[in-house]
Amino acid sequence: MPPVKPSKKPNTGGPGVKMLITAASLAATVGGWALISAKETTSVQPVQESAAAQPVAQQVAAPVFSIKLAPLPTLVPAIASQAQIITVSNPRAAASAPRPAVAVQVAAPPTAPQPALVLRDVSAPALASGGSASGAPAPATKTHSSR
Amino acid sequence: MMQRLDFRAMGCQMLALLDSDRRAAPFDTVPGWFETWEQALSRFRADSELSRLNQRTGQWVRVSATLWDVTHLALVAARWTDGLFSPTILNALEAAGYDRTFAEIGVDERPVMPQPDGQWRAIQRQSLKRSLCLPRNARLDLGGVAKGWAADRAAKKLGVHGPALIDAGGDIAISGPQADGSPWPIGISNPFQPDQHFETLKIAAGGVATSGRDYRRWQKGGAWQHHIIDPRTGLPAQTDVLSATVIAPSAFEAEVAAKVILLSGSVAGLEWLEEQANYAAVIVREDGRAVTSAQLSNYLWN
Repeated sequence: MPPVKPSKKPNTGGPGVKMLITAASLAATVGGWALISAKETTSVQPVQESAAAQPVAQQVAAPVFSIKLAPLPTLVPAIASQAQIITVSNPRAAASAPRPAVAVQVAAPPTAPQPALVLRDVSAPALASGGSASGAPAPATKTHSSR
Repeated sequence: MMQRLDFRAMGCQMLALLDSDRRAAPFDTVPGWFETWEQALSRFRADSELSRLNQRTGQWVRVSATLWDVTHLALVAARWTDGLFSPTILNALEAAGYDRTFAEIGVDERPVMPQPDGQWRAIQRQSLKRSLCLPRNARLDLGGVAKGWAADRAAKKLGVHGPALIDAGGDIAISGPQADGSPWPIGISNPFQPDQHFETLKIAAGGVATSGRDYRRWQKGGAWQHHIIDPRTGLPAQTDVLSATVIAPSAFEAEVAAKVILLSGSVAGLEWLEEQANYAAVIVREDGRAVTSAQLSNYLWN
């Protein structure tokens, strides 16, 4: 009788042990999710964004309750709120848009403003010539508040 | 030869100047341009495109290229200023008493109820369909930028025929230097004496605009109200600035920046402006003092 070759895998107890390990892993995973969800706070968000300045009566009148659950493990990125997206997708309009976009403003380094120059007391009686600086030609037009 | 055309549009006095020896045909059509734009953008016309859009909140509405462009730029400006400029302050503006044309406003003893804003963030757009969907509780008011936008547009169209200047109720757009190469002299009206100007600017191209609470004001609830609404409070702005004049690459930008200064106050407003490249400002405070930004000396006519 040929000698019996020893098995490469030692017998660790059969299918019962494997099932036990699998069940324990599953229980730990589900329990972990439940623990994270339980720790997540429930937030209350008013409809208006400028809630700080809103009268109390209006905040009470129309609250929106949203319960945030813990994110489940997924490869799909979260979808941002539609209300926060403003797509700049009109090339013609975008080309004529004001130059300093939000990103530019954020990226700008904080620069100390130059000291303001006090020009004059403009509420004083005007000059006979029209109140302008000497040597300046008559203006083609004047800028003023809408009228 | 300087050609001049005076007319009224958008509730304001308008002026078009064209520095050209040839009588360009489009010069006479400038009032027609403004009429078309006003029909799209005015909140005071019940049959305007803007009024129809405001009546259909919560629905997708296909809009004209004009209304689309101005709304788009207004939203860009709102993001740029972090909401200090807002195109959705109409509820607050009407609550403050500006619920009809300025000429029709009378004294109203009812108190002003604040209407805080921020709803511009919820406006949805579909660029391929050129469609807008306003949130149910918001309505658009483009009065804060429409004149600046129209001045820029008209100056660009007219500038094809020669150096052009468009003055849309105080918001000024300039296509380029005059025919002899010199800049245009632009006066800054004195808010204490409107028939006088206290400074003269030299502007070769770009925009100049003034925002102030010296003219469009009325009485409501036993107090003076004005048309510059602070979106944070939903009330006419409490500020030490009487008027702010801004020089910028376009009249649209100048108009927005002037409002930001007025809403921010003279100190914070000047700090904000100094962070913007190629901008300059003259701020007239309520105490009668005028303060200027560092860049203003480049535009003073000495």
